[in-house]
Amino acid sequence: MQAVILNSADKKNPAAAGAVRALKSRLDDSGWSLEVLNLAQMDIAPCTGCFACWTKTPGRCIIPDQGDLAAKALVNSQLAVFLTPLSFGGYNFHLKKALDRIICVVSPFFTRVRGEIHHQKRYDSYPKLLGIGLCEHPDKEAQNLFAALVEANAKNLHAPAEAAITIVGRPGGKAIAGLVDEALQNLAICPAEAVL
Amino acid sequence: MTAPKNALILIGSPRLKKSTSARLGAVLEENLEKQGLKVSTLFVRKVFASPQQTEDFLAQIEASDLLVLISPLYVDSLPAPVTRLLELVAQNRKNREATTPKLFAAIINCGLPDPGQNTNALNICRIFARHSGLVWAGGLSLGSGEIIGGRPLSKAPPGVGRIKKALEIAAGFLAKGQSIPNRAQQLLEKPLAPWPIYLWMGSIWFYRAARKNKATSKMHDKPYCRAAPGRR
Ligand SMILES: Cc1cc2nc3c(=O)[nH]c(=O)nc-3n(C[C@H](O)[C@H](O)[C@H](O)COP(=O)(O)O)c2cc1C
Repeated sequence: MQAVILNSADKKNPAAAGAVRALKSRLDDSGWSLEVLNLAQMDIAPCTGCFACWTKTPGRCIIPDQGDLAAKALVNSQLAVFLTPLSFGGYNFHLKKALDRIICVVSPFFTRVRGEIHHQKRYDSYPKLLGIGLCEHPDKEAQNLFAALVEANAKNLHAPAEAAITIVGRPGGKAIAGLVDEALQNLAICPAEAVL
Repeated sequence: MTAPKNALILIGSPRLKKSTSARLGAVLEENLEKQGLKVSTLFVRKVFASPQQTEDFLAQIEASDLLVLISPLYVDSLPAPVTRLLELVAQNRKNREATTPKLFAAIINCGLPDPGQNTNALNICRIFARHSGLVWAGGLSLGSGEIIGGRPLSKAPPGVGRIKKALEIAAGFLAKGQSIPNRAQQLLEKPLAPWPIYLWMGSIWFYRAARKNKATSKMHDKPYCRAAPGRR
């Protein structure tokens, strides 16, 4: 089983480093492989809204940079983790740049997903989605919005399940591991006994 | 709130002048000007073209009484460059001494028929206002944005009259320093075209665009499958 972390925090962010460590340890224990994309250090231009990824080179963005790495990793994984400092309850700029470039993983044609109209699948399967938001201070409104956004993305990206957690402030490694364990259990990813 | 004297409209679409956002912006600008405001319009993409342009933009924000973001929805939230812009403004206004309050409103359009898709993006805007010491003046949410498809509203299909009315109402309230009322949004709740027709037209549009590029046979390709490239 394959997992990818789209990490948009900067290298020195201790909460992000703690979350990556916790995920690596839990997923390793359960026999998963893990790829981490550090988006803040990658060359990813913003989407230009041209839809060439649907009508000219279907399934691929035409911008020749590292933007395709996130899309490639996503469709070849069973778990995708969006790890981001919260920007007003949403994703930060670096994660958003990568996500705007991944609409190529769905088709331009339409279907219904959980009662809403969305785009059809391009691939046979899509990963479960785990959102991990980082914020300095508690902000219920922003944290709830983050969960709603992850849920909306799960519909858009045909995720079979999704979960969202926020790490507030700079908790220790144990506290972060506890949050990550709970989320993985909610996603039925690690067997309960492996994380207790 | 006292009535604003000048307004800055920020167009968040990377399609610039040919975007639905810019077309909505043109109508809002006209209506705000009718109400006596001095209005400037800026494309978010151009704000980051050079450090000087970024600096000028920040100065322009501080000189404006009313800010209106008009943006498309990208993957359930705001496009990356708009996110970057909001991060920049919030950072720049941190610890700033209270000046005359500024109003901030947002108008989001999305491709899918349901305007409810824009809720998360509008909520991001509302939280941004709180973080940046701006007064949230509400927003408008438009579905089926591709019906406008970058055309001036005067050349877009008939249902578009309701969009013009909603923008006129919004401009009237914003010009008085008040929030956009619900009745403006109510005009946008009814789909511009019956959704099955809109989706059918959308599919045809994508198919025709692919045909022009000689790419129809590849429309269902799965180029990123590691196991088996091409169709799986
Ligand atoms: C990268 C990308 C992501 C998009 N994501 C969504 C989405 O999540 N939901 C939606 O309804 N439309 C989505 N759209 C469609 C746009 O919101 C729609 O085409 C809009 O009318 C474009 O407005 P503009 O001309 O002002 O850019 C997306 C378009 C692009 C290019």
